[in-house]
Amino acid sequence: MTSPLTVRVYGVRFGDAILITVPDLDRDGEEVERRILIDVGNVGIGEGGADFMFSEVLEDVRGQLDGRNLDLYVLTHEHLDHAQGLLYAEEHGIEIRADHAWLPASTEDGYYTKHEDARKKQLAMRRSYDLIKKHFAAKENPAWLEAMLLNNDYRSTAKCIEHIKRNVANDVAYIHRDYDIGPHNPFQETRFDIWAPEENTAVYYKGLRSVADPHDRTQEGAGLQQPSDLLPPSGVDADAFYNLVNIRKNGYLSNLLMIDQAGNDSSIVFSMEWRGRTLLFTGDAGQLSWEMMNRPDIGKIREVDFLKVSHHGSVTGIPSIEILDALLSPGAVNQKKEAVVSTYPGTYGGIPAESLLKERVESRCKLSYVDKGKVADGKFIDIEFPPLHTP
Amino acid sequence: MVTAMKARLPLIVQDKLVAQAKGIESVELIEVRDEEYFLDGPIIKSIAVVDFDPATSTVLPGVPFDPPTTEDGWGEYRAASTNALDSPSFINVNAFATVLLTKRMFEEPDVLGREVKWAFDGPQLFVVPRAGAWANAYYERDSRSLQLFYFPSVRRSDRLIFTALSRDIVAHETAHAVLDGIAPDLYDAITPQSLALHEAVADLSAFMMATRSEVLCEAILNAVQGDLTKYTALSSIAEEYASEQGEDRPLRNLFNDATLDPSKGGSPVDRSNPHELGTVLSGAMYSVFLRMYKAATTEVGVSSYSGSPARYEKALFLASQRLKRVMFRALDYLPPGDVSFADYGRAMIASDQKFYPNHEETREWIRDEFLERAIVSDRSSLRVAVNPGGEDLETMARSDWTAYRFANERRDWLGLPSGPFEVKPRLIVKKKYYHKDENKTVRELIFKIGWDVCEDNDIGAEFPKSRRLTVGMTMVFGFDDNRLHTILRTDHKDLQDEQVEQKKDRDSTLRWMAAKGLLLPFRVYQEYSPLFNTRAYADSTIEMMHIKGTGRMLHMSGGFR
Repeated sequence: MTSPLTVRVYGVRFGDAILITVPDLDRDGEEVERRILIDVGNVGIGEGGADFMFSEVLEDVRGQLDGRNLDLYVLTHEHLDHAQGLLYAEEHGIEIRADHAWLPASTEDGYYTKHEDARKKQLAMRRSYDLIKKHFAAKENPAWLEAMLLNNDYRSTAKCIEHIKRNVANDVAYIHRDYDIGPHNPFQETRFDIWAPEENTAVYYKGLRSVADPHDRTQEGAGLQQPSDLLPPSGVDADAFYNLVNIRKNGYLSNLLMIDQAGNDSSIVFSMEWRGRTLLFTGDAGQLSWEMMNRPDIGKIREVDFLKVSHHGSVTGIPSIEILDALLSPGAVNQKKEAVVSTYPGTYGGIPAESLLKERVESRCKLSYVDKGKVADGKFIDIEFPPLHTP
Repeated sequence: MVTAMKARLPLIVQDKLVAQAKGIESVELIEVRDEEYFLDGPIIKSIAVVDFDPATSTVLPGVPFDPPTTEDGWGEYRAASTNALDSPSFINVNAFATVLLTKRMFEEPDVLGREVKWAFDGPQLFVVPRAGAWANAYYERDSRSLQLFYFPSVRRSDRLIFTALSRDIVAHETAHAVLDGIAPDLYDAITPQSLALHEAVADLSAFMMATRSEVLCEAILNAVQGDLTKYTALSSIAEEYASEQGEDRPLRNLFNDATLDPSKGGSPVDRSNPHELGTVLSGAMYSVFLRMYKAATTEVGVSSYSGSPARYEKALFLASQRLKRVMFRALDYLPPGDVSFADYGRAMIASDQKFYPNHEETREWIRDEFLERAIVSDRSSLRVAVNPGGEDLETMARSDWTAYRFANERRDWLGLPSGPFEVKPRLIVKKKYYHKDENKTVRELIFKIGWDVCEDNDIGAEFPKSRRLTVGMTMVFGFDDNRLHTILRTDHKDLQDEQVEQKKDRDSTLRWMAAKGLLLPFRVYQEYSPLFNTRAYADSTIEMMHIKGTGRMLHMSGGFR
């Protein structure tokens, strides 16, 4: 038998950084080690977003590469806690290069020209984000809210993505479920299957409640119709009116959550088939993405040996019971199956959802936690998968 | 601000798609009388349209109201012309007119016979006609509002579809608000049939509102030559909404054969999905309507359609009026707490039986349909207890203590629990009963009592092992004879099969909600709060699960479905 496949999950606090070392074959049929790096980043603010460990993490990656390029770098989605690390490394003199990079289809230049409905939704989301940010500016916000605001800051994320697109890889492919990865797949033996996202990310955007800032005169249409501002109209009970206005204002939080979810749901989700093993990497895929993958006409959900728990173990990231039964095993814990969750309690509200992780994931497989107190900053855990058959 | 007592309002006939397909006028004028006042907005005592500018969220000035210039004249809102249906002023007035007409339908003397009271404190329901960009519309008790959204058409991306312009959608959402005022416990119900009842009543209200358009009815009858036993725009709900999202059929079709037990024929539904489940009840009642229509055509003596179209129109009018009475009058009779379709069936039969004791036909049709669609397993399940007994009704209506004492002294006889129960505010209603032989006005006292029971909660380890369920009873007393006429209850000790089925459905729905992340353990909900405003939560602080917000969650998580 040959060497195992190794999934190395780094402690980067509230973020992801995963290095996979895969024994693969070269063109002559000789075994070689190939490496995939998935994401690298954290939320960038507060305790869960400390940056100091990235140097150690990326030095370790570089050490593993021993002067070579990564075979493949995958950026799962456009959130800072997944995208930030490589730019940080570059700025600190640690150069990481890859032969190939897979980025979400929506990051390709011209994507939004091709997908008009996605463009409109993205525009609405960005407009909404700016209003949300303005609404909460100069306020004492809870840490989770600050983290969520920064994580979804499309301007900051854009810089990280530009760096990856322009500087990191020789070949950049913009991936979606129906994308032909053929020429962009450096592996000879390992088989990849892209489960998500859909090419048109508009499917992941839900509606936004209108919560525009009444005092923002720069908004389209403002001032043109001589608005009576937020005074209750004549004949309306003032208390009831302000109750309505306040509930609409709570829409800021709803909208921010929706923006966050849409970004998560646009994650690249892919499986790797290697010598009888199937490993599933999920980025931050949420409820909507899982539902899409499970649709009969898409039909991606199938049994795997390894699950990277999505979205740091959040309620929305943990798949439904039905899907988990199909991915892992119903009933008793299957010791041969593994899952890992990278998380940092106290950063994002309610994450990780410990009771759900226990109930839904730990009841089905061996779950490793990469979080505070379990894996030190910049260190890692290795999960090894011996091959079930020879090449 | 100028006031007036009556006004003429423009109203979209159904939706623009239907109007185009049928080649009929898009807009008709309706006349509304007896309002205390009309204000710019439109705003009246019970409804206020608040138009938030979608770009800025500022409140735009209301549509001006032009009062009548003569003593007997009509007031009008200065809405844009009917050539500009997408203009904010037309959207506002149309939404208002639809809400008002729907509300008034319930208030008619032969339905509730009283002014609708909303489920929240305060007299006004807000209508937000341009609530935001979303293919959705919902009633929200907390904000006391109907939120009507808009979305881009899939056919023409430069065109926005306003749900406020759909008579079906606005009537449907208004019906949710009306029903919430009548049966507020349904808002937090966990029994899928309770949630589905809301949907079915809302869809049937949209249907009833469609039958009130003479223009539409005439066009439809003409198209099918008086034969309504086929798919028509009357039986379809929200055609334009579905079509503009790329679907080739309406959101729901009342002309269906949906059943709870497809092994005996008919189309299956997902019993844990309230939206789908509602089609069983709405389909049953639409079938009852078709029987009423057939009977009415005989009654008015139709021959061929071409020879007497007006008689078909009259038959349609009669049938829709009769259906309206039997369906909506019964809502007052619903016991507190969670209710099943069968409970609603018993309420319909009780209200019909009391006033038309010698006319069994309608009740037989309801029994037929409920049996056919496996809502009940036998006709006797729809039997209603009638227990006469003399009481001082005026005092019982007025005094909480007298009402409580009445119930407390008869715990055993009424089958009340040994623990606490809640006596709800009594309701005195005056309803008109029309019949070809006689018309009469009946005064009733409706007396409801609710209490909680505990049942197993086998929906997953993260939730408590037991849950709270509200059940209850409705007693209906007649002022004419001072007697208790009807008792309806939801804790049927004699209908064990029905209870087991309902419990199974509740388990299934709650598991589905938990699996979808729509139902959260309270601890998780608290951690995320207030972000999870689209989810229901299980309050388990005393190791007994109590679920809140299911009705709202279903509307906010799934779009107008």
